[in-house]
Amino acid sequence: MRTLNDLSTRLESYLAEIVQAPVQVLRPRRLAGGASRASLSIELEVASGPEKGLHALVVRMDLGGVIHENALSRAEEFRVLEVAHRAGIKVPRPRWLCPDPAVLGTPFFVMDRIEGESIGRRIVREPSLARARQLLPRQLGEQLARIHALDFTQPGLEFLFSPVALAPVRGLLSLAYRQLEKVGEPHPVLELARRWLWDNAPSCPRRVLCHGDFRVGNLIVGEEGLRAILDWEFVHLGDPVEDLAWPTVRSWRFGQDQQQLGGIGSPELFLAAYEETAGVTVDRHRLAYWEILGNFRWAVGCIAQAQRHLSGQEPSVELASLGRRTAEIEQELLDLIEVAERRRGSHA
Amino acid sequence: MHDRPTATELLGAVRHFLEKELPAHVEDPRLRYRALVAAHVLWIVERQQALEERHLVEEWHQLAALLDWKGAAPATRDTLRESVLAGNQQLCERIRLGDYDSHDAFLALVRHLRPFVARKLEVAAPSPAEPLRKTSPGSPTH
Repeated sequence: MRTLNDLSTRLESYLAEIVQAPVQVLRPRRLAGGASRASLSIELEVASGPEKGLHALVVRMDLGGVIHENALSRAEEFRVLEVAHRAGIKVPRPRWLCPDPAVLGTPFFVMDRIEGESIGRRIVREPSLARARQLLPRQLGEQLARIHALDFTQPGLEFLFSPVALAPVRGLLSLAYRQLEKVGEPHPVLELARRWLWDNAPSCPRRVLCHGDFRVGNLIVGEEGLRAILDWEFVHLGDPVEDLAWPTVRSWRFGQDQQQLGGIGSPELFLAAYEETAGVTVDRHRLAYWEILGNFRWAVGCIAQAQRHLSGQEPSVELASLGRRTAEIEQELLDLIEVAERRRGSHA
Repeated sequence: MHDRPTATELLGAVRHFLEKELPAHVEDPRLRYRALVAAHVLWIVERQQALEERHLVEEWHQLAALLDWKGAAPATRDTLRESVLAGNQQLCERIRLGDYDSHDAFLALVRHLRPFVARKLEVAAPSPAEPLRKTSPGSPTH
């Protein structure tokens, strides 16, 4: 991995050329990484020209090595951000894309940095964010409806047409299950959940551009509520209910279990705002199905993250510890599939 | 015979260092957090050392009932572990083959699997004071 100084110097010469002015990169620091990318926070001082002034920015880079098979490349993520930003959705303004790996070692893009809280466990607890927690459910519902209204047929988004888009439910289920099979550990609860999910898979009447990781933890929040939606690397075409159920998955409540929407509030406020904005009614049974599928995928996600440590690919006590979180999600899966199966049985 | 501290006591000592002494001197919040995660991982190991033997015996007997095994449970921890792993694999295979597809068999298996998960949670579930339950992996810190 390059040093911060080295990255700053390289960024400086690249950005000077882009803005056609002398620039200085100040206060570079690394931000916690994700599945397939690393982020850097910088201030950019531009000495002259139309961009003259101080810019607070985030640089998002691909990581070398294995890339998450469902994640977008930085170039693709940048395209999606542009589309969302143009549509007035709350996202950091995308600034520059550099597809040339020679500059920083991997392709990267630069976007505005938006100040605020992004750490889930603080968003659900901070006393100063109490009002934000009241506002967030409706704000999230409204923004998600606008994301789902984006025109995914426009030129430049062709990469969204993946095999999963043809079968959004069983496609995602199969991807996760294949990942589990590759690890090879026996997980009877996940086997049973997968069986149930396969047999009860609902149809997908409406296909939209899904954010793919829409939840507390991927948001910037201020006292007035939602400031920005982050982490667009898992955007794909799919069932809108996927994005509606994902923020209710128990792990994203950060310990505030009674608040089923991301530890901040009631799913009903969120759903009502979504339904008003989108002009649709969300089928609550399909929502319950997608919550189970979300838990299943996240259980496999934990196992896969632990594998990144176990394989030696990325030694990390944090990744290792995730393997032992699988049990919590398995318990949640048992609770949810028991309720769903009883309901199914009583309708059969 | 090894001297005191015992292995568990040594783990406890390192955990105390990671949890109580180190964080106050670490400026980088991400490193501080990782120290707490490391302490939590040691806590899991301590609990597993204390509980694993009992858990393996319990799980073996449950698997024996579910899979119609005859005979007595293996005597050593290692052979028990092997046998329990094989049992879990067999159970997965039966689920894949559709043995529990009927409504009643499905619900019965859900009930049978609860203690399997409860044992894992007894070792690994963070208490409310622990850091893991509160965090999301892979989320950016802006």
